[in-house]
Amino acid sequence: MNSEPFAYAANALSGPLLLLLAAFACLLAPLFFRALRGTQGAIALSAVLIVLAFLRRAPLVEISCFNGALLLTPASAYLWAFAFAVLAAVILLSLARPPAEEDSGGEYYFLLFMATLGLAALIAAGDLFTAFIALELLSLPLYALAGIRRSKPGLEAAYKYFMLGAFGSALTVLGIALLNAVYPDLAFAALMQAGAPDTLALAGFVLVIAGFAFKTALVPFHMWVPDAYEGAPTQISAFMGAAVKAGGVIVLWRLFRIFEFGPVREIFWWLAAVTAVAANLMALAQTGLKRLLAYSSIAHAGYLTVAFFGGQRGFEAVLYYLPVYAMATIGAFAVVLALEKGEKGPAIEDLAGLARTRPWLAAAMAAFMFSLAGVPPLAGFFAKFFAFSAAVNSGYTGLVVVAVLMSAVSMYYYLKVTVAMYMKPPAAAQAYPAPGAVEAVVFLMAAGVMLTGVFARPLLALAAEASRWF
Amino acid sequence: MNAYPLAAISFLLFALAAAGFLTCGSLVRMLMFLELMLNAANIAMVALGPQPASQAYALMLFAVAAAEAGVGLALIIALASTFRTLEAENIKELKG
Repeated sequence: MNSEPFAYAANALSGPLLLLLAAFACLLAPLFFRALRGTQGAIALSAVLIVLAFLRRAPLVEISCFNGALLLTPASAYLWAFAFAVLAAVILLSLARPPAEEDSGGEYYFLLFMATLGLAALIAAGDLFTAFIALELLSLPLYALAGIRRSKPGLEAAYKYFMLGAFGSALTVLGIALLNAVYPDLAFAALMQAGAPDTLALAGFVLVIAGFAFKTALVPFHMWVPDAYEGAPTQISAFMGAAVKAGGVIVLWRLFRIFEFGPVREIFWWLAAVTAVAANLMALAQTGLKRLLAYSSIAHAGYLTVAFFGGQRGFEAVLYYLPVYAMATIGAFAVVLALEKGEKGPAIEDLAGLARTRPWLAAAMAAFMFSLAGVPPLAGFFAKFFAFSAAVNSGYTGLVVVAVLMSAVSMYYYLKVTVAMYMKPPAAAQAYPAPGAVEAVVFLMAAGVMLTGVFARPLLALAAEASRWF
Repeated sequence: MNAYPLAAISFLLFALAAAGFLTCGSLVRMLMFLELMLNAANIAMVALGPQPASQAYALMLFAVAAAEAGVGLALIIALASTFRTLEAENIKELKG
């Protein structure tokens, strides 16, 4: 046997392993060594940077680890790189503006690492049960992170997220139980071979899809999202928007792919259409910036589901879409972080005159808004273009018409932010702190949004290669 | 033993717990109904699934249910000391 895959697997798995070690180091080191107090953030950042530095291109084979529970492929390598990059950005934001009190232990970074490990396992999961356990590992730390400030908005966000998330988990468990009764082997590859589901299996699939739709925030399973994003620390909102969504989307795609046609496809059709319509309409009425971004994230989950209907090319578009959307969302939340004074983040009106007082920040925010809205030549336009054209090529024109129309509606609320920044006078002269790591993240993300739009080819090639391995 | 009566009981339990979860207003009760739902689903798993695998799954699900309970109780304690109430309708800081 060729030793190359084995060497790669050892290399690839040592990344998450290092993150696990770093998580415990963040949690325990400050307890045992007085000198290390307050260095958790530095430990966390250096660990994730080391992991990112040692990422390697995956060989073009599927490597089955732990008896098929984890499948390492070029696709998982691509998405792991994405997950670790999101983690690095969130750690940078947390270092610049600590979300919890200074004297709290390292549990913040511990929980963040655990959630990322859950996401990594979710991405590589080879069977449905592993995917569920990984999803729990992703969600449970986030419930705690949402309320880590122990303030009123934070705790309310955390409990709403927890109650609905756990409800979704219970639905998923029941669904897995039903599926297990019909299919002894829950590996995704085995489910693909299983053929048309009978009534019991269909009920199981519906429950599992509902459970994962809770985490991906598809309408009508989105009720927790606006409150959770608004009340959670902004760094965590960014993580939820970028990372949790990606994990949910990957599993939904694996479930979607099992069915060529039939009732499950129709469920996805309705989920995509209703999400695109409802999220955009509800976003129109928002006045808070964090709530607006929350509804925008729901809407994008809808567009991603539309892309599923493009089949393999659609999934290629999804893999391009995820980092592009994540960059704009993390960037926008970083701007929120740079401006926020209260816990709930600024209102859209608070951005008035930002172009006058902090022109570069306003320009970056405008880039994020236009990218999310899908204005060329920013990356968001190409992401939407690839996603929708793939679905059209597969004959789902009606669905795409709905999505494009609602995408035009979304222009209104994205422009509302830009108009406030550029066309309204500043409220009062305020002193702003000197730019730091938050602004660095903002500009990195802005550069990413522009470069991956104008020079889409490298990222698109990577996404295309990865999409073949799902 | 025939597994189907057991499965029927677990579905009934799940449905009752879900109904309770959706209608009651107290956070502690909601958490209890959540645990009931998870355990009912677990019973269904053991009753219906192929023998060795589903039992292993059930064991792991115990751990998941325990972790959910742990996080949920911690949140409820923090909520009780911050809001001085555990009725969901009184905890309304955020819009919506």
